[in-house]
Amino acid sequence: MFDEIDAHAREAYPEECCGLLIATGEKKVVDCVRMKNEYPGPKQDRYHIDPLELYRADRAASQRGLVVAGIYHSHPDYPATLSRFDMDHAFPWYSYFVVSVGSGGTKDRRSWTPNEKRTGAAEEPIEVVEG
Amino acid sequence: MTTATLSTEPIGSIPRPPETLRAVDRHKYPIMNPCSQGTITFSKVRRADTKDSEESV
Repeated sequence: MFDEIDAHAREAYPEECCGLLIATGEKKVVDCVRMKNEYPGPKQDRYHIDPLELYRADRAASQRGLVVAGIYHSHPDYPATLSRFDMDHAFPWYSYFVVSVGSGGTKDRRSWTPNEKRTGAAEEPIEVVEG
Repeated sequence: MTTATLSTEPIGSIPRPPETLRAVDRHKYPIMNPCSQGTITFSKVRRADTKDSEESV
């Protein structure tokens, strides 16, 4: 899974990539879906997902008995933390998986859950399991 | 004869979209409630292959 997200981040570099984390109800990510970065301005430090595409992906996940558990995006030449812009546009029920990427590849990966008021986010541990 | 009068009072409050979404998704994704902080787990095996094979049927 990480390989797919890393590849997406490298392909999009120096722009941000974005996509969805598809998971079981236990928040076990079993698939990831690439989304197009629709941000109308410079994409080096911004991303935007078309709400309709998000809705379609959500429906597709539901049909597979899965859920959209979170959103991943890359931070080119920037740490894998949530920016103020990320926080202002975050939904507290999603996990936000951020990949720090440079010209040499992925540097770091972290996952965050914003609080209700979008004033902060808690880092959540990442585990990788077989199967 | 009855005269109908149009009321200027709002029929009901319409929640702003973010609140509506939040309410819906809380119901749909109870495990995503930020009160229940936990671990996010990644499977090494993508289930996309299964999906592709299902789509090809």
